[in-house]
Amino acid sequence: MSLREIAETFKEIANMKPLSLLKCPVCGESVERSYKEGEYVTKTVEDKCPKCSNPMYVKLIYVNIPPQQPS
Amino acid sequence: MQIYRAEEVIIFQGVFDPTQISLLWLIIFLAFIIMQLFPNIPLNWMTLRTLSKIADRLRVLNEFDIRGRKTLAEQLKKYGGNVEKMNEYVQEIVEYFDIGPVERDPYGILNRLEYMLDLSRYRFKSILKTYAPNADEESLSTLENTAAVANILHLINKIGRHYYNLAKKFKNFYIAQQIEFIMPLLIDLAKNYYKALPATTQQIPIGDAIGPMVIANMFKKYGVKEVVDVGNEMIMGEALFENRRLLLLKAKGPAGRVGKPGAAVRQLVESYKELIKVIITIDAASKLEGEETGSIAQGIGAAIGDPGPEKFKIEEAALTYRIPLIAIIIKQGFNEAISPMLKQIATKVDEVIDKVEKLVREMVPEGGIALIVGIGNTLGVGNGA
Repeated sequence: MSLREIAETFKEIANMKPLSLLKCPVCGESVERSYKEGEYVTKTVEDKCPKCSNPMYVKLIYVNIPPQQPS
Repeated sequence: MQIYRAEEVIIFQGVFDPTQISLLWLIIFLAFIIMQLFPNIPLNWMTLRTLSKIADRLRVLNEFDIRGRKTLAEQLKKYGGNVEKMNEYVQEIVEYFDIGPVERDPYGILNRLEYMLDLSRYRFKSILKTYAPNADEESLSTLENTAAVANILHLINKIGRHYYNLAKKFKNFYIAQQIEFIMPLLIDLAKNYYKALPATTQQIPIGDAIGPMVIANMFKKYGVKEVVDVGNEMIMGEALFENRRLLLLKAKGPAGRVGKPGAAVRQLVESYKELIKVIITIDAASKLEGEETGSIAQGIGAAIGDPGPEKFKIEEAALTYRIPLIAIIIKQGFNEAISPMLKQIATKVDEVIDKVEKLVREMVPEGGIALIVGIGNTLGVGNGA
């Protein structure tokens, strides 16, 4: 791994944007949006379901980057 | 490589006169003699060249170390750490170590190991609490994860530097070669531990959290309204599934904890005894190169990657009442297990739940109990209710 690749790694980590997958417990509708600090899996959030307007909860939190390859 | 035809070689030879060709041969011969008389000259040159390459890479490890310390210092400051003494605090935390129990007399080693692990965690947490006085119990658990990552980044840097200095001190080409070979692995390891830092500071689940994430989703799926603290930093929710009782167990979230699942399983097995028809452990497991990240496999045994005590307790509890022990693993690289959770892994949650349900239908008669345990760090995964 070269110094340039390392610089890119630092940049990649700084730009790593986690996502939250929200789910409606009533109709099962799912919405993916940016993660907000303080959220955790199973937390009920303020976002309303676009279909039935019920409060949604955080089903999953993840980052959407390709699986890592060995350096 | 260019290949010359025979006539070109003749022309080329024609450029030099025979005296020059003899001189050329003499120079080559003398160089060969010198190398035989002073064999260390090329070796020393190669050692210096290798060391210079390693020095470049050491700077990278050092940079990871510095950034790890900086993140830790910021976190300590956030929880009221004394700014003036921050360097001293950080140094003490990154130099923290624990010594494992003696293995020459294996009698009772698991008890001693468990004691050492408990003691180490307690002491580490006490140090953090002293240096971050405003941290509450939840923040302290997450801070513990950040400090552990900074500690490992420092250790990796020290290992790299140690072998570099050793090769330099003894001018030893072979040590230099070894550290050159291992350096990409050290950098990769440091890079991935460094990636875990934003996860610990922002409370984002890491790859290892897949087990607790499955349990948390089962809480939601089966409408578990209340979870109980069963001790050892573990929580349990109870659900009904097709006339079967499910005891769903995970570490207490959403702070970064692994809890003591073995102790909790033993306690529950002691309470319900033969009524428990199956124990299912769900955990992230290391994949081999070439295997797909997020692929799911099923087998028998306790899927838990602890140093020994917790796994032993699960096995012992299962053996006492002859309860089948089923393991479900979600494969991922070690690097992925310590980095923020990848989408390819997280989205396997529903598939794992389907597998668990299938197992429960197959192995637990109606009215029976299944004990399902999500093993791993529960960072960023709540308690469901």
